[in-house]
Amino acid sequence: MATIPDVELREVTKRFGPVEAVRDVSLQISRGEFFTLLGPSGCGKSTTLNMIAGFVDPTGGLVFLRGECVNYRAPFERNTAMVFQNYALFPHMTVWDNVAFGLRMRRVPAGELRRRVDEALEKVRLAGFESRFPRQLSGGQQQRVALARAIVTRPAVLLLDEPLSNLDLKLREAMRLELKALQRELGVTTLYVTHDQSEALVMSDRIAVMSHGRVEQLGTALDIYERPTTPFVAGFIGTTNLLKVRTVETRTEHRAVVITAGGLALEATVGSSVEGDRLMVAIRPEKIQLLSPAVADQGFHNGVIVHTIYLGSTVRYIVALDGGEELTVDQVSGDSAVTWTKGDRVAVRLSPPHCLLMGDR
Amino acid sequence: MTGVRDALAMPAATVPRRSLAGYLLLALPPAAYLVIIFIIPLALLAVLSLLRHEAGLIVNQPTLENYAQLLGDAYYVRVIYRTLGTSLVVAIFVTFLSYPVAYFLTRTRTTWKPVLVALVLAPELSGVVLRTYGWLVILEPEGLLNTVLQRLGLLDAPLKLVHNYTAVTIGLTHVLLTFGVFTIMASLQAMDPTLELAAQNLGANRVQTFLRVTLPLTLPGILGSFFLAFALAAGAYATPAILGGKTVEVMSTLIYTQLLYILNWPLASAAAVILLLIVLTTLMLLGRFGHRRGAVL
Amino acid sequence: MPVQRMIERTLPRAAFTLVVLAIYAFMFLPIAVVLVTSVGASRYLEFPPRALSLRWYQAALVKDWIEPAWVSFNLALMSAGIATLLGSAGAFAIVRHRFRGRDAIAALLHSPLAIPSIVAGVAIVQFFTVVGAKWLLGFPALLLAHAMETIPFVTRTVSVSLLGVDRTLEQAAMNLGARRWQMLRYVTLPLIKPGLFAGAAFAFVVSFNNVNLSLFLVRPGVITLPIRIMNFLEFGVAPVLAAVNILSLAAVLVVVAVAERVGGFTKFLYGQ
Repeated sequence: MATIPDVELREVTKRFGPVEAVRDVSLQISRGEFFTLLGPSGCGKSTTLNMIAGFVDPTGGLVFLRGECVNYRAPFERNTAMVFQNYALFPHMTVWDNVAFGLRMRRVPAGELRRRVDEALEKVRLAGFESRFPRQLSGGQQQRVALARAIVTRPAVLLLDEPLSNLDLKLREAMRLELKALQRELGVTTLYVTHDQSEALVMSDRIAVMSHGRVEQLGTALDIYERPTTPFVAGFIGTTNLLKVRTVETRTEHRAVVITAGGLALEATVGSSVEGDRLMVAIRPEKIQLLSPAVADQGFHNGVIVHTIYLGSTVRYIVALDGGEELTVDQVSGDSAVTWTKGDRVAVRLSPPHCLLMGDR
Repeated sequence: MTGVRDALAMPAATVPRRSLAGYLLLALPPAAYLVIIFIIPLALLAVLSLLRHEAGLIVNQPTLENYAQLLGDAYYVRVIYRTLGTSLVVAIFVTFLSYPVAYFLTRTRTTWKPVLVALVLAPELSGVVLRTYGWLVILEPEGLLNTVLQRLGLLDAPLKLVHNYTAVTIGLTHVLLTFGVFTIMASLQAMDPTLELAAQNLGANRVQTFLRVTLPLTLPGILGSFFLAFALAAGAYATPAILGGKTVEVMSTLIYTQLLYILNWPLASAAAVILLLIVLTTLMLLGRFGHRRGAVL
Repeated sequence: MPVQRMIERTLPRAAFTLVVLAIYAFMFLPIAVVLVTSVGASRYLEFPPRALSLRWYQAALVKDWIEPAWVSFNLALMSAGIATLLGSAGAFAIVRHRFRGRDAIAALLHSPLAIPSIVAGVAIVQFFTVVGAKWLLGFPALLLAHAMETIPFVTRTVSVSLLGVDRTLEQAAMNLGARRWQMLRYVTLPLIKPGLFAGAAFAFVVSFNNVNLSLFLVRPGVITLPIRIMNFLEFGVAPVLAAVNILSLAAVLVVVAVAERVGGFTKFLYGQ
């Protein structure tokens, strides 16, 4: 990448007293990218966002916007545009005045101002609501006003702080797609903060999964889901079986044979971060194959179904292996699919590409 | 660990990033103003109260005799007691009368509520003098009450209703009601009304609910109302002067006379200091009685 | 027995409402009496008046009453202005800053409320005399003292308003390019306007009706309306006082109504 990224963080750290809320976060977001900071509450993602917006000063590290270091710039000198979790619409101003606020502060001439505000309201499908006050709008409408207010300023980066978390489920799912489509259309560089993994997977070009102030893994949605590099990422996104490793029998660059704490011997793919004293193997439930013991040959592990949960499109089985390990297995449900009931003996196949060996920090 | 982070991560964005200079720029003018116009004069008052007064002149000589005079002379002691007693009775009346109004205003669902709240505030706009004058018109020998009672044939001769402590008590209670209602209302509003429903759901009747849940939870408001009424009654001048006439002497009228007519500033200062101590001691005692000071002031 | 149940349910409530109504009546009785007296025709105080007349209003609108009323009006307006400036500055310092001594500042700004104002009055008149500023007695001293007394009201209402302002609104303003003064001008001040005007209106009313401080600080020629009425009362309950009182109340109501029109402070009273 020869071009300068719109947003760059270099080893950014934030301490509040003795607590490190953000440690050594480095990342680059390029023009037009939809980038998500994903993590549980308190992982430092909002603090990171606030450091980019200028509401929080980093304790260490550098923040760049379009190639310029903005560490010492006030929020109003940064040309970022934020959509706040509670929208932060000015209650004493109409929808129109809310959207016009940023342009007025930038002393945009009246004619252009009117054109851009109308255009922004058009974009979020709120034409006709100009003279309403925020309290006269529904949650979804308020959300779109906040979005219009942000994009109308043509910011270097659009900052979204859990903008969908106050909407109900149906609306939230619709807004994901709408937001993503709008972002594509405008080509605006976007940093999205959320704790909702499905939101992140659906919308993002790239995701940084954060935990305890650190970026655990940075990659595309596919990377994060298919090739998690830490137990935290594997566990936080989707459901995963995490098996503790007791001993490593053999290990090459890409493959290793390990014995789990439950005595299960399996071949696993070596991930990119296998440091740390505690190793684990992560296996997604839907990547595990279940077969009748009769047809199984070597390479299968035997076990018994101890629990079945119907999830709609899939059925989830809890399988107790003979060695003592318990596995969660998802199988597609449907007329043609084989189904098992509690107490059935089954054979479980764990294919090496889907067993990921990783270290726990 | 996550808990600590949660707590810290939330206000992270809300911690004000302001300078000490900005703080001083804002805090210093009002603080300096109050120190000069209020705190220093009070300190001076305390000093003056400790100086000797001889033949109409203040002598630069420390003494406790002003206090000795006020606390030793039977007349002055009676004035202090009367002030204390009247203020206590007024504080109790105000609190008792304010509570039902505050309760009504907090719980009512009528659309007239804003009007009813405004009506409680309205007397405050009319000032002490107007209302005290009104009471004078009512209680005078040829006033409303005597006329009505006489016309109804209940009285032969007019009753002497003014220029006594009863009139002062009625007048002060009336003047201070607004403060009582608003103080109690604040604590009623702060209380979660579902707590009353919960108590009733658990089998308490209305009276039990009120005594066991509402009353204890609004104690700060009750104490606040009590203190406010007590302090304002103890320092009130207009009402005792008008409704009490020459026969009623309380601390405030004593201070006024000593300062402006007898010109004994040290004695007036000592009386003012005693009044101040009475109010502050009450505040402390009520504070001890179990509520945060913030609810009082 | 549904009828008995109904009585059991409604009777206490009706009794309670009646008690509340009685207290309301008690609150308005003296004011109503003054109002009725002011339109009576008789030279003596009589209640209810036998004939109606506006003669006392005519008698009230003379130099003797208009002069102190004008003093009180100017005094209240100016001291409310000073108190609003100083009190709001204090409120911003208390609510928006975290520095050492903040609690002490907050206590100081509220302290005039905890001390009987008559004590403050005595202290101030002695202070000005002792430090050789006796020439301040009269209007300047009244102004300084009234502003002192009313600062806590403004500090209170503005603090409450400021605490109610969502900080993300200010962040949003800055994020959208507003400098600090623009944020203050376009976002913070409009949001605290009701509290600001509530404090100012309260300060005006408290100053206009003040007795305890003015008592010691008035000078011949510079006398406030409440003190003038008090002095007059020493000579008896003249009906002209009723008219003066009602006119004074009317003046306060007009000022409060204007403040409500401009600042909408009832939003502060009911909104929070």
